[in-house]
Amino acid sequence: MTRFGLTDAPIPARLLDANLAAGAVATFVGFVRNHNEGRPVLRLEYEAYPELAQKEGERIVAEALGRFPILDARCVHRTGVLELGEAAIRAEAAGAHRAEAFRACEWIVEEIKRRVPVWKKERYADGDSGWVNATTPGQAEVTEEAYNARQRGVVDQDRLKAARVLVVGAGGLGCPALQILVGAGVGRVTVIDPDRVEVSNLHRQVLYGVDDLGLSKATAAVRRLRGLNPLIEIEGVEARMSEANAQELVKAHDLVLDGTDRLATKFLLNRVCVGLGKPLIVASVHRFEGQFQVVRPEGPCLECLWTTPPEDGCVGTCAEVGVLGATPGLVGTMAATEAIKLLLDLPVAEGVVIVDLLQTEVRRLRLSRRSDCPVCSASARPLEGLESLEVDATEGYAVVDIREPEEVALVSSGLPHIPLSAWVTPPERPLLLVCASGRRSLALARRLRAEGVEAYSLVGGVSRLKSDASGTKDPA
Amino acid sequence: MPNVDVRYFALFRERAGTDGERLATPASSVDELYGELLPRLGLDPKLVRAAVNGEFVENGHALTEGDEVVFVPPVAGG
Repeated sequence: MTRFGLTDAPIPARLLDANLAAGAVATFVGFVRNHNEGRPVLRLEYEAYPELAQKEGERIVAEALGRFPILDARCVHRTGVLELGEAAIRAEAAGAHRAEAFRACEWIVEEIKRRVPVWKKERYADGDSGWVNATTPGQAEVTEEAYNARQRGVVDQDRLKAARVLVVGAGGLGCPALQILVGAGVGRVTVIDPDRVEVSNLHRQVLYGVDDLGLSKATAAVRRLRGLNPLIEIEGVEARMSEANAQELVKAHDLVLDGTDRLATKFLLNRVCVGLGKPLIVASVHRFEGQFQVVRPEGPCLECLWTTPPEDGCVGTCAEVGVLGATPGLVGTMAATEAIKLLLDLPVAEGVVIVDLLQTEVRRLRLSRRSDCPVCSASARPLEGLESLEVDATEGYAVVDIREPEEVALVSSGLPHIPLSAWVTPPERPLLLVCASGRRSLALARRLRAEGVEAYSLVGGVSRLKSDASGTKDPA
Repeated sequence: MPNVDVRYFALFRERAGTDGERLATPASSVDELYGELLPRLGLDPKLVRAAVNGEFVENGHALTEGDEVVFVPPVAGG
């Protein structure tokens, strides 16, 4: 449908039809002004590149509908000759509440002025005339070279740019973590949060101000973050992380950072991330203290630490027990730093890190993988809706030997052979991967699962294959 | 009876009313020690992890003189 229009006739006094769900319609009207930079102006002339202007304007209004929780929006821009006092542009945004209507309306006008090809010619009282820049001042060009100048030599910028990070929760931990990740130039950052900005958030949730009260955190955070780094992709998801969306969201990213205040979410992410072979950083805070743990797919994981997943409510959230604003600021920043180190293959914190701001102390408690961990151990239970990664027999599978050629030369398996170092996924399904011990095949199976390939790993590797074979061979 | 240094974090700091103390305990293992402290700390032992000298340990881990024991409750705030 058409939500943006160019017209050479006067702009109507109302663009949106009455909508009973809309409690607020914010309207902006731009008029022809009688002066510019000290010179009296008699009239204006707008010229557009109509095909492109129409398309871009339409796109901007559609984007606004996606970015802000509004019900509808319209915008019309004049072309041709305009007398003083005539309306040159009118934008309307309708929402349930005024905050989002104001935001969306402002955003639309700013984007229209920045992106839509419309030029303005002023006719001055002294008989002179001239084309003037119709774009908003202050939109300085931001280049990657300039943006990243101060961390050159510190990080591998290309690797960060290629990375995709999911931040779960845009609260006290999520806000500083997002700021660090976005500033570092992680190429794609997604933030998921179901909540709206409240007054009691502002003392620690550094991406928001009083102007954001009532807005969805996902929307407000993305707006702030895009302003912080316009060179990367940032997406907001206004939803709660749940069984229904976890697999899909985690799959689309390389790494997950959890800053929620729900234990159930932390355990869900732990299970999904280990299952999909994605690293996870879990962080929590309490008054003057924070804890975080870097979970790698091979473990130890969150359930190696907590054998009985605690119920939400048994330990209290920020809302119940309180937190010093600085605590999540520091812990969220540390968690994001671990994320960046993981992306750059730098050594990360092992075990559980406890940050105690009362004692000004950081301590690391080493943690071992539990051999019977229900999530990350070799005998881990299958994920919901996914069969186990590991099997102990070959019947019914397309079996592939992934060992390197020199290993195969020593101990032949007689199987189709695609070495891991030159891996190309064959079309057969389900795939069963075999290596020497079952370790490399498990890692590859995890990776392929994350790509949506039904792959399994043979427990015990080639030796299992041989003992199987000798057991089923002609007894004579 | 070994003397051990017990450190408390988060919920336990508040319930114990201190961030740490030296205890002479008849307990021979970390879970027995937690059993002694249970009336003050109050959280189901199944939800508590113990670390001795910087490393998480399993129930039954024997205590020796001078050990530093940390009981870590789960933390949920964000």
